[in-house]
Amino acid sequence: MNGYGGSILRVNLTNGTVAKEPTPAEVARDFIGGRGFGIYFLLKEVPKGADPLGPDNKLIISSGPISGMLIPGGGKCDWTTKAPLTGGYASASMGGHFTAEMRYAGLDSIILEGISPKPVYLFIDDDKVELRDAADLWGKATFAVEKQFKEKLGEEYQVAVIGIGGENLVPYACINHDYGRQAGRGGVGAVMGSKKVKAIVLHGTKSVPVADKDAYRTGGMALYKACKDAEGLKEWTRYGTTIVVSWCDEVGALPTRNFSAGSYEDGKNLYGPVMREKIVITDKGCFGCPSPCGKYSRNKKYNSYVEGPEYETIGLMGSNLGIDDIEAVAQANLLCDDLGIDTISAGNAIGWAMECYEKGILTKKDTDGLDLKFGNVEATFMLIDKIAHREGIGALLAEGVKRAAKKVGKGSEKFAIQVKGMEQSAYATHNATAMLLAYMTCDVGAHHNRSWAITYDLQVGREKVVPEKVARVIWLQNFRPMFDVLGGCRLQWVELGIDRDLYVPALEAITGIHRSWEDLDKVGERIWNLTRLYWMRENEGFGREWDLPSPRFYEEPPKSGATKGQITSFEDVNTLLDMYYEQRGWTSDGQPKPETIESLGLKSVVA
Amino acid sequence: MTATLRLSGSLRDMTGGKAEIQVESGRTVRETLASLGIVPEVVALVVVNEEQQSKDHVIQEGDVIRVLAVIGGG
Repeated sequence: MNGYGGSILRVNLTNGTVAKEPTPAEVARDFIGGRGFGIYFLLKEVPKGADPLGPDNKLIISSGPISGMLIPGGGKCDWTTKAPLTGGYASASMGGHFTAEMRYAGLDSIILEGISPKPVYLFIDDDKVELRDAADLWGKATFAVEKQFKEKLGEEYQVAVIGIGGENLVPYACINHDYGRQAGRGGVGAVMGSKKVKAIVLHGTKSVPVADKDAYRTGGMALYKACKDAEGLKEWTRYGTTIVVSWCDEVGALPTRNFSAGSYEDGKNLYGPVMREKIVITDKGCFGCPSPCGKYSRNKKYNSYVEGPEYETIGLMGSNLGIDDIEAVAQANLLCDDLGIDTISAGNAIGWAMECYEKGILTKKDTDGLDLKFGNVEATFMLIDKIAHREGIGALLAEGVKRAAKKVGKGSEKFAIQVKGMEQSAYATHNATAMLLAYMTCDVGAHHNRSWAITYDLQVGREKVVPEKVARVIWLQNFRPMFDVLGGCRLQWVELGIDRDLYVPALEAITGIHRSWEDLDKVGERIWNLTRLYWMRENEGFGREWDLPSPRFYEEPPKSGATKGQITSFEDVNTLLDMYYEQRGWTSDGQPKPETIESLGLKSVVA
Repeated sequence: MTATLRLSGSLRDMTGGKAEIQVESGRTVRETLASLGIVPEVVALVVVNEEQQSKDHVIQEGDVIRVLAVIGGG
């Protein structure tokens, strides 16, 4: 099948067997790959009500047709599972070089099933597939394990590994790869840990068949040329995602002290140029990337090296904790990566704990004696370690802010910044209604990457609640995650602004199937509806209540910064949902109507 | 008394597809963007003659100004 490795690898951890089956042509036709494969297999194969950390859950790792190809950004793979953090759908995108080697080993998906009786790692070298003993790796941090494999096997072997957080089933444990890339959100690392899989190590040498080699070469080169000629390539490469730190501070989107404001009085110390000057030593890119956004840093203050920090970590581990020292943020980044926990959720959990402490809801008796004032760098480092080990107050914070606030109570639920149980990524949304709606309706919880609509708020009036904004959010939700379906990176479109139509001939040359963006957006819409149906299936009474944001964004206007005194009313929050559900073809309680499911051709998938 | 304004991809949607525009000197980048129908807040970075400047930079004759929009995030 052109454009595909050709096989799905099933790994039954309970009985230690592996088996390959041909990638189903009709699934490739209808769901293309990546997160499309993920939701298809999740819905079809993981039984209703499965314990996310039990044997019935599966971890589905999928590449897409542009993964590992000479297409800008073809270095992404999708990790789908039932999320331990939320009890709903999780799909985490990971960059690096893993997905390319997966394809060269002939694999479109790897599905981990069951639970191993002892720690193992999965070893794949072309057609050789083995589960190997990992007793000596269990308990080790991620960088040491990756280094050990690379030194033993060679640089071409790619490693995805969990840390202590994944072993301890922290619901926001991540999977590390390439010394600094992660499948970060929703707790995919905890699912891997529950299955007692410490790492996946793989290498492949096969070719991926393409339909038209000449057109593939021409289409790929046209995309690379567009990137090379793009205005801004130099700056995006120099600063990566940190380019937006100063911008977010200016417009009131930089999370500050647990999202109580959107501008940080000491934010200048965290801006991209400051970081570049102070700690960055080189750029680091994923497979085939013409605009490497990874920044590799030497941290003299802590005598360490780390990939990053990128924007999200600067927001959540910096301003959100009242920390203005970029070297301290870089060190917090390193600790999270090495221990294998998501910096976004961890930054939220620590910010919530600091606010609890400053309000007297938590005292030193609760915090193992730590003085949890905002800005306390040493306490932040200790909390990261405690979370990964689930020690003392770390055991509470490891649950995520929704569960932690439910346990602690005393009004702390109101400043637990999350949607559907997933902590919000680094955009404050006090007065940015499209971005707020994007967070409310995101299919994994409060994450930004599906629909990033905040500039649209600024263009049309940030407080406005109008159908055009809702339509924009929906279009982005259908379109942007298609990069996660294709197995590529969206940043060349996002940052460099290259014409998305350039992907069409290249994709056709690879797969032999012509798909316009109109067709692709429709696939995105189908997948979006399937993820909604999955949430409904797994959660009794799932509906509008689940889409509500943190009350902070409709009850507490910031006392300072660019959004001082600004808020979105609760009435507007509900109006946004009314418009959204109507435009999506969902009921007033946010459930896809039967006719919507029918018109999208999804009846057979959910039957 | 003119300078050259170059727009990154997504900003061109707001100028009818124009990638490069001749603008008058003597005004700030912020004022110039607004006069072209570009909301200055969507611009993340202003580079004048290959040096980063604020949106309040007063445009000089012969300046080459590159402006980058924020569309994506992390």
